[in-house]
Amino acid sequence: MTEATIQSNHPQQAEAFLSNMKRAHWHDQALWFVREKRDKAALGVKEWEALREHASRIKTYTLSKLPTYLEQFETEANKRGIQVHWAKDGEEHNRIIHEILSKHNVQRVVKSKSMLTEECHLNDYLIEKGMDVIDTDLGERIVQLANEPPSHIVLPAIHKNRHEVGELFHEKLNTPKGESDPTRLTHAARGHLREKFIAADAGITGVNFAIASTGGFVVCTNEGNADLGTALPPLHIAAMGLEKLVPTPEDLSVFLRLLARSATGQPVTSYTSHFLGPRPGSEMHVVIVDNGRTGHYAQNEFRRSLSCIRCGACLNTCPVYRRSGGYSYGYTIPGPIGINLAPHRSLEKYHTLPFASSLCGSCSNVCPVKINLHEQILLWRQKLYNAGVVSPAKRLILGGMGKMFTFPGVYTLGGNVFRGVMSLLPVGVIAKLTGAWGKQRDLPPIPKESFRQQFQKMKGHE
Amino acid sequence: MSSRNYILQALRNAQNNAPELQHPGSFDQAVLFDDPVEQFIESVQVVAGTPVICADLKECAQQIEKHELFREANILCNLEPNWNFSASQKGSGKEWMEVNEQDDPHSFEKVDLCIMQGQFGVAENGAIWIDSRFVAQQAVLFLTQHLILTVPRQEIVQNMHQAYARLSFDSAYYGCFIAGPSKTADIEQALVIGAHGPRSLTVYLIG
Repeated sequence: MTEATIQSNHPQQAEAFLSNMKRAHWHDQALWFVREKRDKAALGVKEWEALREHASRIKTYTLSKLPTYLEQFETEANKRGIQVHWAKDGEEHNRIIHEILSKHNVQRVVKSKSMLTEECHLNDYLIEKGMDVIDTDLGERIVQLANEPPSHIVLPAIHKNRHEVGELFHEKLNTPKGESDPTRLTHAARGHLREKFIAADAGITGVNFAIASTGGFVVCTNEGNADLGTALPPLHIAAMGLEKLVPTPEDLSVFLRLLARSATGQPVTSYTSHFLGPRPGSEMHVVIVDNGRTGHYAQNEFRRSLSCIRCGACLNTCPVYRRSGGYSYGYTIPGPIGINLAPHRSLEKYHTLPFASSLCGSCSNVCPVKINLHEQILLWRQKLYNAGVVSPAKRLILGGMGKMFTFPGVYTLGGNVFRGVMSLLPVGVIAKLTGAWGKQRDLPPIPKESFRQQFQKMKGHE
Repeated sequence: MSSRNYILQALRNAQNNAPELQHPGSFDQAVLFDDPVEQFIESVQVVAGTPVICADLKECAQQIEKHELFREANILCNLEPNWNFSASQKGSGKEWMEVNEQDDPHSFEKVDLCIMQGQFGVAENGAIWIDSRFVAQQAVLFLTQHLILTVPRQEIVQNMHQAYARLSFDSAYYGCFIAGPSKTADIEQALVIGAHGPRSLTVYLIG
């Protein structure tokens, strides 16, 4: 099951997720727990808000000079002996990586987490070419063994409980039946993955931050898998979205203070690894990937979402994500940031996503780089309406409402008729009329008088 | 057109005479700790490391030799330049590997304990900087079952801003902030120590 095979229909897939309310509630709580850890960590840094503002300004500035910084990065990386490649799209990215691997006669590849390679479906591509590709982040290994994509960008297996992981490991890694202790399961995976690290011919990582002034790049992990995966074999390939740049190491310090605190509430990840050049006797490659990003960049009103540092805080806080799960979005990156990225790929295919939001704004409030996520979601809704991609029923209602609001007389009359009719209808009929909205909710009791009537009355009493 | 030029051209076309933005400069609003060393010790614990305070390197060596991890270790590596463990441990049945003499990083697969000097520590998060100038094969730091880092007390900086002000990447091909042992919470958010790398990190603060 990959992104390509999942149809993106948020309400339909959210409904499937919600068919098991106990599990949905558990998922909601698990993510809220992470959100609370983030709050505690943020409160521990007195200058937190100033730090967010600073990070936001560095990113906006860097984006404004992106081509210049990309060239600087390339020049400096080359000086360090890092080979830089450029890929227009996912297909080219996969081809370049495969070519490098083939040149080195690579059979076994170990990967650390990279949402970009998920986006490009690199694993499927390499496996089809006969290579053995192992995801080494524990969460990613779990979903890989289950033949599923990650359901969260930081916590790939957050949708699975310990018993399901235990079952999976029993089947695939031969752990004792019924074993569900996270420590014992993790240590079983440690043994299994150590063999893979030792046997690997090449390591592939993502890039958290690339530094323009010095040419190196940084990968953050808690497990140390990016380090093990690249310290042993003689070949390291890093896949990098073209927006991952920071101008200097000094700028990097700002983002490293925000990233882990926003993601999991840790003050920093266990390992903040700086890959500054190939080890003696090895090769290091960076593939800079566009895959729709230049088109996104060209849209000024949406450009800020290219500042994202993939911490996942907007997922953890989102009331819709927590209650509908990562798969309901049908896109590599779910949650509020995914809603903002997916339509750049296809407005048509992802047209339900901008409606998977209550527009409460919590995502924008926790975002470490202050992306105006909920405002951009609203912009997407407007785009969808203007592009005619909204469903006919929604279109009719929105169009009708729009007209009605411009004629106060029609509005007053409409309100009176609505109150009259609704008070006469049986509950069952009302539930039908409210559609998807009314599935889990009742309408509040219909007031006898409109607000205007109540207001006039109160004014009379004064 | 090459993909490189296509991408750079597309970005340049999209910049369309936007007003010139200014870099916001250095971040100067960081609130400093009254006692960064105290904070560092606390932060090491937050990231699941074990801090130990020693008066000097001699006391540190004695403490390490008494440590359970040390006594039980069969294969060890020493990257603490100020102390010659191997001399003090001759005839103990322990095998000492000279890290910077090994060409193949796989040779560290069976290492039980690695001892290394960190360059400096960061008070706000317990991270300790190491780089390839002092360890040619970084693999040993991740293959070892347990890791001990020593940090001189006077080498504690307040925060990441101060940390990067100290760093130049000129002569290293690898560098890392290490904060605690290898860990994961990928199964039901339950914290497990010892994911792929070291199962423990002990930090000896010296001085």
